Amino acid sequence: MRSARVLVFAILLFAIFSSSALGHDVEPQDVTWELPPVQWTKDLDSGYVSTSPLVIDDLLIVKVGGSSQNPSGPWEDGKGPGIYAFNTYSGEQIWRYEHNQSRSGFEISPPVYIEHYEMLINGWTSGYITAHNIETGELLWSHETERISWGITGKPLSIIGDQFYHDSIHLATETGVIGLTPNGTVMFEHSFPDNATGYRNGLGMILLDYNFSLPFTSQNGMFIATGDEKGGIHAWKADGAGFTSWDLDDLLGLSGWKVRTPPFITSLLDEPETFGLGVVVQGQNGGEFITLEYQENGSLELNAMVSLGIAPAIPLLLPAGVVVTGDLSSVLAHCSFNSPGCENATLVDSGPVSGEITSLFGEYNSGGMSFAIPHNTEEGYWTGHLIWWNETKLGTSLQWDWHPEKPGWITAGVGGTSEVMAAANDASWLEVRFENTSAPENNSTEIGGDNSSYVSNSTVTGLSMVNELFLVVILMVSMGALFTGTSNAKRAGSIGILLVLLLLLPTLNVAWVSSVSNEGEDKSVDSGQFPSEYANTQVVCFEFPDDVWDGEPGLSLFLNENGEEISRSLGNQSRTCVGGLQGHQNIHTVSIEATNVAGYNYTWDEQPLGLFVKDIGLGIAGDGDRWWLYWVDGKHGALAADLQPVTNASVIEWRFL
Amino acid sequence: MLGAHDVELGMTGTLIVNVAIFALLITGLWRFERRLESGQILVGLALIAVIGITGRIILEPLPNISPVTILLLLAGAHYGIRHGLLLATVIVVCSNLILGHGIWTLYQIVAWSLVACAGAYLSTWLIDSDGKLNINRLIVVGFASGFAFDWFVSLSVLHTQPISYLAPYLVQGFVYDLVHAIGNLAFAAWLGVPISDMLKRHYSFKLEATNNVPHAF
Repeated sequence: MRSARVLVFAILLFAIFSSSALGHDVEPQDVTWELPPVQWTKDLDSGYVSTSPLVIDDLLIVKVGGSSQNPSGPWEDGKGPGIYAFNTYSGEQIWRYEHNQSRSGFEISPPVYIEHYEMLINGWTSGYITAHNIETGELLWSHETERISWGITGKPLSIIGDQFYHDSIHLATETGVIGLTPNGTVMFEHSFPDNATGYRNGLGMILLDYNFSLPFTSQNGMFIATGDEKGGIHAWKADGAGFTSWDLDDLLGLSGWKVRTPPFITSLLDEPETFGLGVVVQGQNGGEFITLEYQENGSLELNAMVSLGIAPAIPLLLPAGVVVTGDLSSVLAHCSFNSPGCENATLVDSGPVSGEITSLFGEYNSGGMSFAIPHNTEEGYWTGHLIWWNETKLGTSLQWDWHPEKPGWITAGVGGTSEVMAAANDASWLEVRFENTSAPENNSTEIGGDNSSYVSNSTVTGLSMVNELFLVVILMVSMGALFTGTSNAKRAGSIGILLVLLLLLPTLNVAWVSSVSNEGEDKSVDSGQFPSEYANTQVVCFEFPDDVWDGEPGLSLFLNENGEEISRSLGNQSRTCVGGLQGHQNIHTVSIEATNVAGYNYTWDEQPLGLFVKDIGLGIAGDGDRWWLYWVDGKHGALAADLQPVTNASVIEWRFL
Repeated sequence: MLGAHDVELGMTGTLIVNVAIFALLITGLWRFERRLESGQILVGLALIAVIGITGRIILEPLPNISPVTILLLLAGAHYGIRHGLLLATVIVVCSNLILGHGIWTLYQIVAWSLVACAGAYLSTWLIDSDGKLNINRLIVVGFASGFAFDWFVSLSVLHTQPISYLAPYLVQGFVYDLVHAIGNLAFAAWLGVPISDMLKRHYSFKLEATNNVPHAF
């Protein structure tokens, strides 16, 4: 059960282990966590990226704030706030969602992936909550909450698979909290008292009145908590019941507190028999890392307080109760072991850090716990660190620094693992790093027409290194045999060369054809008559000769993605165009959808070098010695339909010639 | 009774089956031919035609790979231009009944006829005075013929495309041409000697000189 795992992990966060719990096999100074090479980059050109990308196996999710020519103007076409989904290893765009309801220019509520439902949850500054199918990007449901100034800016939290509670998704809105079922039905809503609002108030799990003698379940003191801009801290159970609020002004004796980070479970100073509530708050003079103890009468009392710098970042909670905080001046690591080494925080790095400090757990685990810090300067960068318990105190080391090719301010953390990392900055520049051995297969696809992205190849053929080496050996031996004197050797050699060639034929053909261009028959795209709805979408046009056209000769029909006619015009071409299509990666799939929309028959033949399109509508292959040829963005296609890539705004023209 | 008509082999399965069938065909024809009397040129031509036609059809899944070029090179080398032209026409017409007939049929006939002509022209270079085939030279000629044949047949696109289309079309088809050439290389290595021996066995020798032969006194 997910909630059980969450609780167990939460306990691990603050359990008092022996020093060997954080021990490592080798001296940290002898271990290096190497920064993998950049494999591909993308200029999203879609505004600020304020949250760390999500890396879910071979899917990479990036949330953008939107780009417009002027602050109050409309979003640039295709560059509105929303989500990009890419293939982690190839950089190929899988899907795109634009949330044009947002007008703020930034989106700082991190997306949350719910694996059980294959669902991506997002809160937006528009006040909306959306749920998408992670694979296709299909909008499953959306719910609008009250928005006064900035909508939803904190991280959601989900409770899935708990034995006592129904599956639920929790978010802090601008004016309160809300709980929804995975299908978008509202379970509960609570408003913040005193008309308080919340900003960057992500949700955290806390334990209140936890009883060590009882089984560790969600019934044993588990609450979800958040804060607000008036110093309020609020907690509720997974079903929304028991909503309780506390005021930091009363607890800390001062006013002006703002809770802009998620509360979390922590251990208490000198109180080993229970757990406390930890939270990093922002005061008038700077930040504070405070620990609160739950009392029997339901109140909270201050247990410990550590001063931080101004504008604290979202802290990172590491196993064994280590908390990493950041602010404008420094990054500190705090521990709560019963050791003199925990009396003072350990300096990790210098600031300014105001965004997300993120853990990057993965296969690398021998030198300490790995995490990354976003440094928020004009030419921002990330640093990678290790942290470990050095028997008496926390030890840390700087392992790498990552300076993006296109500089910009950085608040978004690094997403992914210690081996596959993705990060983006406010310049909308995305970089993805991994070793080629991390990729599930060595794709050597180059994304055409986009100078800001590339993929590096480890092998020429795209096969694994071992297989490529094997083929080279066969080729060399075969060629040697061919030139020997014996006929048997020639036979064997000729077969070897032929087999190698046949194995590499698809790769060779694609590589060869892609590297030579057919300049003789390129035609400029006649898009002057295209309706405005076609802008920045994929468009497919089918041109028919008059003898196989069932409409008025010279008629151009323009349909949208639902098959509804947008407009029509008379000219030199008899054609049907379907626009507004999205998310297709090659000619074949976009043509399938377009023919379905247009009501045309579409057949193809599977050939050794790809799919050969035979019939489209009344154009039957070979009729009058005519065949279907395609042009993509004015260039005559030379690859099979399923091998020719397209962009988000490609215009594909099929002609029966 | 189980019907196997709807069994789908897939590309790889089809290829394996077809190659196996072709190998069986070659073996069967070879063994059959060995029992025939020598000197029957029509038999030789017929066997070449069968191998060429069925080989082209059965190996259709392998792009641009067929034994026809090598067969016509050898037929031209052994039997001359006339028989080579006949053979090229028969093979192309019969196999295109299955593979598809169009304007390209004429180009294929002409191109393969030219291959047979090349075989005839190079016969003394390919076959020595003892009638033994030089396999290395056959490989070289077969490799070159692969490209030459494809380029000639590519001229058929000019019926629908302008001349400026031809060069890029040829360049883009280079990989296909290479496959054809390498395929010829393999067929030359495997079939060159047996086919050549078979053709040699079926020469029909006719003495032309019947006049002015000195009588023995």
